[in-house]
Amino acid sequence: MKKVEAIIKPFKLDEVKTALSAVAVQGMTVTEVRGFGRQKGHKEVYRGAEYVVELVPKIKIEVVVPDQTVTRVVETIAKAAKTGKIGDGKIFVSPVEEAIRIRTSERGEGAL
Amino acid sequence: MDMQALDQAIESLEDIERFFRKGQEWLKKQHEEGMPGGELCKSRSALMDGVLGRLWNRALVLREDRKSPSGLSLQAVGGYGREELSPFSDIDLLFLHLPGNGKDLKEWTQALLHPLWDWGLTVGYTVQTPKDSWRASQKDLDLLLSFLDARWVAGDRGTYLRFKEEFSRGLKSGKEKEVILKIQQGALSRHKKFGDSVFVLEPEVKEGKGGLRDYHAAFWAAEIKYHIRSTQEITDYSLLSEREWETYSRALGFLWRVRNQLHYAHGRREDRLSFEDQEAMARALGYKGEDAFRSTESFLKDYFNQALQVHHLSWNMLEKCLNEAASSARIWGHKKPPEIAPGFFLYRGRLALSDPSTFDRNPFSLWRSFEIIHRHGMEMSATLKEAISQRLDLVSERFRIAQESTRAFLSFFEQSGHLYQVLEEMHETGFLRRFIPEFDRVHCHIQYDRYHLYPVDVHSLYAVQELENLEKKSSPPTWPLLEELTKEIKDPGLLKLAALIHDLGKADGSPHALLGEKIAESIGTRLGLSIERIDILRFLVREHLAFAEIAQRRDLNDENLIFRFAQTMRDGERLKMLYLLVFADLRAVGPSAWTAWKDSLLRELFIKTMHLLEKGEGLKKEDQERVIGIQREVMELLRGQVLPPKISDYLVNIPSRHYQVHDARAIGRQILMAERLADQVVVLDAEEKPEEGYDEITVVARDEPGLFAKFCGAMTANLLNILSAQISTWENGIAVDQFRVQSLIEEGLLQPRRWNKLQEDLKKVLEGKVAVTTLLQEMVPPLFHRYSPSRFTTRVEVDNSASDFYTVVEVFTPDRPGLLYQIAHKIFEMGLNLWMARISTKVDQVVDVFYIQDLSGEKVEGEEKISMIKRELLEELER
Repeated sequence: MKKVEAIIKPFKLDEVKTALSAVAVQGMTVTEVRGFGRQKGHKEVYRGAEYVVELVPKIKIEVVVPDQTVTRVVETIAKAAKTGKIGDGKIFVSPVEEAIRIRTSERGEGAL
Repeated sequence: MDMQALDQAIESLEDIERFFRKGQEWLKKQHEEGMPGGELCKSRSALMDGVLGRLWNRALVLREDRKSPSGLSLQAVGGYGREELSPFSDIDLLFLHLPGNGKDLKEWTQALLHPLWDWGLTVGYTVQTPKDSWRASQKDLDLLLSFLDARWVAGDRGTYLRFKEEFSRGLKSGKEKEVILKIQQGALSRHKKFGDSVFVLEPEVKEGKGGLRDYHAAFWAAEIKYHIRSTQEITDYSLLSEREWETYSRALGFLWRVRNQLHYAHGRREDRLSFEDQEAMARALGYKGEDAFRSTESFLKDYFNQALQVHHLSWNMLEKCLNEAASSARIWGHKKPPEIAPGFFLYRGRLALSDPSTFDRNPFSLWRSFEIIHRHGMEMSATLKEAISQRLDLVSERFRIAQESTRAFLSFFEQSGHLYQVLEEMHETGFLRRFIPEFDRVHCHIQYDRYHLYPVDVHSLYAVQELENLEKKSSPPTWPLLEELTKEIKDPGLLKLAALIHDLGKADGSPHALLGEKIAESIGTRLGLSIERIDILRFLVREHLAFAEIAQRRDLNDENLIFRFAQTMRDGERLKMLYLLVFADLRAVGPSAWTAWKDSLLRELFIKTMHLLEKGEGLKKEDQERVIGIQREVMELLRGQVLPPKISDYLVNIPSRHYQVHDARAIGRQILMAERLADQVVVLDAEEKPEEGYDEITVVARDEPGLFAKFCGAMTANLLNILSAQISTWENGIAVDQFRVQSLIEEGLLQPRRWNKLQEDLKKVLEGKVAVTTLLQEMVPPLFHRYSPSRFTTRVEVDNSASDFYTVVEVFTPDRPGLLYQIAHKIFEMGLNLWMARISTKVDQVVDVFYIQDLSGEKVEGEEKISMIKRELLEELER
């Protein structure tokens, strides 16, 4: 099992959700986050007052999937979240030791 | 008990248990068949009385002397004493004995308690003398209140009576007021502990505001003050009117039934209506709807309605017990109260009515009470609230539209004062629902999800409060931009009114923005607002959802999106008001609705839109109408040639600016050209305009970096001087460039040889078969020397603040053929992307404005990069 974590542009959430459900990814965790990478954030000026946004709002999506579907899931997210412009985000894949469904105590891939 | 009971056969423990269990089953069945809440509680008490009576009897029979310990009596206290036992409520017992007879009671009490514990009941008990009880209760208010409800169950009545005497004597000593105040304070801190509002996501049926404890508090106060023994006596002492009592008992019955159901659903004592419980509760109580959501919403609406009543009426009762009298006349007697305004005075810091018949004599004096509150910010006394609630019939249709009413109501919004306080009192007394009937339909209307905490009416009031809070400067400012805007807007009163009515369309479900708009118009007209103000009101209600949605769901880097949004906003004033309204709306939804994260996006949308509005290009209403007109015309023109959905697709993808410079005929032609890109790499069209002195060429191709440079190069190589150009990139990736050119030779542009060569050259360049430089080299060289140096110097300006989306590069330089190619090619070489350009020639000077982005789709950032652009362009131009 692997955890796929994606940081994406906020307005891409619906698109990514739809795309993931099309590849049978049933559940996910979504968090509102802020951050920066190469896209350093920007400055907004209103009436001479500067509003610096150093941490740009993004959405973080986390899904845990069986090993054999990781590639497909990563591709799906990347395609749906891409705009080609700076700030599209990143995807990280990490190993997951164990997964348990609280209600039934199922373990492993059956808990996903 | 009496001899008759003793004569009966000794019941075994098994028998008694069976009796108990059968009783419980019977109760459950009764509940499932719809037994009212209060009745069930009473029945359970009666059951426990029966069980305890039998146990007492059995203990009696088992003793050697067949006598109960002298002077021992058994009382039910607390909820059991009041006969309000829910299915799994605790049983609280008080054993009273006479002084000196305290020993040897253990055996007796255990004989009663052990079975109960064995059967799974939670039983609390104390064993005391009446005097001890009194003393203990002096130190512990909860104990005092528990004993207040004591009810004899078995044993020596005499001891019980002595106990009662002890208490009434003790209470008479003038401590009543003190105790009642403590009860009230206890209620207030309990409220705070459980959310301080009737409306919470997971109501506490017992401890919350509007819960059963409010009723207990009121009842205890009445017991202490008037020594009432049963709820029937509440009306006897005018603590509640007959009609109020009916409402009250119905509300209590509702709460009890909910609580009983909660107990049965969980199989144990449970007083919290958790989120998970709510749906099941709605079903169990018989709420049917088209879906589970609707029926749960319906149930919650009723629940909050009843809880509101319980709180409201309990509080009234409490106040009355504290204030000693129901009418002011009895308070003051001969002393004339100091009037704060004609007909009104302050009692204990709250506004009260001098003469109860004030409203009858002049209905409009209802406004006076609210005006005083607006000015001073105090609360209304219970009696004043009652007086208003009881004369709501005075708020007739004529009252609503009378100028005195509308003027007074609007003044609360337009003049500074305690607006929220006024609205809250209007809401609590029911006045608001009468004056603005649209509020009636959203009364207690809950949106059933974890996001919306308050029902619509309460939420709307909170939204107004948020705007009021924003006006009070905080230091340091929590939301600097919003606080700034709050000072800038010209009609803050109208904004607050919008906040009050923005969600009234919700009573009929979604989409509520459009329905809300109609309601806004209706209310605005009724209040006599000007047409301009009604227009703004409708705008705010209509668009309040769009703002937040676009900020979070759309790409804010898309200039076209912002442009279209700016068109909807029309002017900066409206935009500011809308941003403020969205802020207030989100803050008033619930704890998690407004975050700095969300504000980042909202603010970005606001500022970008504001910038466009300030520049004002193409955003006037006439411009918008023009676009729509052109689109319609194009649909007509192309009918039969292109499928309508395809036409629409193009039209949507054409940037707004493009509509500013091209008419329907031109756009129609361009779309037809774009269609031919299916099998051609580039499509050209030209029109000779000898009267103007130039020819117009339109080139359409798939966009790619450096495309414009290629066009320019090919045209220069074909001996055309480019006078001006309109560059446009459509959102579906199609470049549509229009050039005005002058031929450098006699031969006309549209002569077949020349025209074909131009087309061929462009085709070869775009297919990569030949480089532009090659074409230029093959050109007749002398042309480049025909121009003498101009008196104008070359200047390059880079403006990075003119647009939120592009870096604007302006080039001022003497005109010469091939110039445009030079610049465009250089821009391409620097790794920049050209989105739009305005090329023009004034006499012999060229003023070219390029809107560029770097290859990652953003403005060019950084001083270094910008200097580099200037430097390299200048170098190129001065070669």
